[in-house]
Amino acid sequence: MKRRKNARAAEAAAPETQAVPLLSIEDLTVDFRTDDGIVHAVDGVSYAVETGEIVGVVGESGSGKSVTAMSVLGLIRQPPGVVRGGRILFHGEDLRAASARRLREIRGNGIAMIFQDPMTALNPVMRVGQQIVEALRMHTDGLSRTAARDRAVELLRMVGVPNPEKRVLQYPHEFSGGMRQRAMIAMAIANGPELLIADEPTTALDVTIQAQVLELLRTAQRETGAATILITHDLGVVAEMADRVVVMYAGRVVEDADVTSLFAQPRHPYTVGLLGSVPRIDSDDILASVPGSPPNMIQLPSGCSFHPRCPLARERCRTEEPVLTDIGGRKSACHFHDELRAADTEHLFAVESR
Amino acid sequence: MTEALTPPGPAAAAPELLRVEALTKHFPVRGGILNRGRVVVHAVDGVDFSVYEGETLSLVGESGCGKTTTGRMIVRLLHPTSGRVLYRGENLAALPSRKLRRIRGDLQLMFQDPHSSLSPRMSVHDIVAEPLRVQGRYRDGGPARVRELLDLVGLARHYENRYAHEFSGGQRQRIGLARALALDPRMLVLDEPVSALDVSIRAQVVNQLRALQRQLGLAFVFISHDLSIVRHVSTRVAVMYLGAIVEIGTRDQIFQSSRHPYTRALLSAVPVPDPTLRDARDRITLGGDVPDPANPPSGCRFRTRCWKAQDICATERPDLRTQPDGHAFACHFPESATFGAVSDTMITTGQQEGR
Repeated sequence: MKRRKNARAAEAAAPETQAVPLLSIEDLTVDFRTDDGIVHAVDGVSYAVETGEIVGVVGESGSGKSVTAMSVLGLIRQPPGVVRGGRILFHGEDLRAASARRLREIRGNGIAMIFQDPMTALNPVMRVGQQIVEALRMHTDGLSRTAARDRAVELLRMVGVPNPEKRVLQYPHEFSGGMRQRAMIAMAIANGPELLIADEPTTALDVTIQAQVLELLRTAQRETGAATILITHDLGVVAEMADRVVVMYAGRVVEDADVTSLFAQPRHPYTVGLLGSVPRIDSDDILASVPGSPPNMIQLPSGCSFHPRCPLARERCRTEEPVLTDIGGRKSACHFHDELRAADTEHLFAVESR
Repeated sequence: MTEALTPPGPAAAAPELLRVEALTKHFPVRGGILNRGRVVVHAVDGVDFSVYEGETLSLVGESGCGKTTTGRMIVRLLHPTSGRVLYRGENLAALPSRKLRRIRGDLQLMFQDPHSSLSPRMSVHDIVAEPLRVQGRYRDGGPARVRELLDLVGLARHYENRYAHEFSGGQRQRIGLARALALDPRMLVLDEPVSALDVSIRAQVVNQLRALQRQLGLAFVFISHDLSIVRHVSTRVAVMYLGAIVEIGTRDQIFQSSRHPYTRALLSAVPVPDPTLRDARDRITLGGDVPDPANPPSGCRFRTRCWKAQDICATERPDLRTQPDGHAFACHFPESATFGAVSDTMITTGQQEGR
């Protein structure tokens, strides 16, 4: 078994900035015990979120993007999960060392979560309004029931739920998918969190409803000033929403850059492949495809996990694991990131002829 | 409302393989308090289109628009409430079962979910061989045919003795594809074939499907909610809303000069993976939800979410009118043909509750 020293290397390359970031994940490692062996779901992940920033975390299923985010709020079930190492600093406070009571305080108040499936987050046998009221009263001492109810109506109106006075009295199953997602967003922003973690918030929604919810997330972010971690597999959503993008592959961060640079000039071959394989609504270009499949997370390939699928791979990639390194205002975990600087990345992966 | 639609266009040079006429499917459901009173969901409500040999016709729309139900009626997994499905001029509903069985081989369906559509108790070989056995064609060179099919979809031959659960999503879709191809179909109905797959795998399967289509001269009915994928695979596109086709045309007609407001809204809602276009694109945000198909709006079904709706839209259901160039749309107030003319500013339609 191998372990990476990504975070330490990255820190060495990029000295601490003056201010402490709002959230800083450092060298986080999470395993899951399964019948087949130990799954290295998150393997030395480090990234930071600054105040008010929208960070898009992209990757395919099993890349560790959700597990990383769930770890922030201590939502990994242990067992089967084991958080093996690393730190999660919120305003400099290590949440891994925080008491259960302290974590409860932070959840909702400091950090709030928006899930893919609202039905997993909403209580099906409790009126929607009551759930928002509960969230409000948990974090505000002395808030009267009537005041909390008024605030719940106000919140639902803010997130665009029509007839909020009537809707607060309904149960989640009486809401459509898009409306449930709105109700969950209302709950998430109820206590004015500084950080929102949205895990595939629009994946289950139809495209016109997705557009509504993304618009709402933008508004919510603008009005509350909350930083947002937006976890998604949809590069279109990232391009429209994020300030910065963290690309994950096989439990590691492979690239971290501002959104414009990442799309214009990716500096990791996996990012190149990902961008090339996405069909675009505004173009007929044919798709490049990344050969093979993501690796078995129980037995990761030696060296760079992406090497079996990488057109740039050579001996060094099979033996030496690349660390996430600062390469001038952005980070890449590729030995040969320099070769992508000037390269015609469009033709890195085989493109089917039309 | 249901006059037969024969769109010419580039694909019209090829012979017509399938024609759907006034196809309708109503599902009775129980509704209301204590399940009293019967409600009828108009899942598909008078749909007409043709599919030509070797082309890809995509059916797109949001959930509940009737695209999957239409696909299932084509392959006879569902019996239409009314209307006809003609395969090479023969009405499938009126065929004696012997003849239908022969035609079934020509029309195959591939399912969306690679995890639930393959039996966990059967080896890959048996899964792919099953249609051959059912049709009594296995005894004659079956094993060789199975290996040929695995080659065709890019799966190694030694996989044939393994079980479906040992494979990744992309590989399972290839197994499903091999099975769908076993009887040498002329046409495949693909129901969201790549929606459950990861991005990098999705591109592999899409490319594979296109290669096979060229190689075997297959026609595809491609059912998808993902307009970006649809743009990549389609010859022609039919846009559905609440059980009806609102617009149908060639790929370019739909993606470059669509005329129906719903199509425009749908296209503008798709996020583009290019951050430099973030503020440059016209954006139409539709308010509200898709109305309840058990109780659709009067007149034009899209009117409750449409920014152009007038009185006539509530009283008169617009016909799907075919233009001289084969492009057809059902709207009293269609958009002009030049793209981008819809909105210099962002349009946000009213927050009406689905009525």
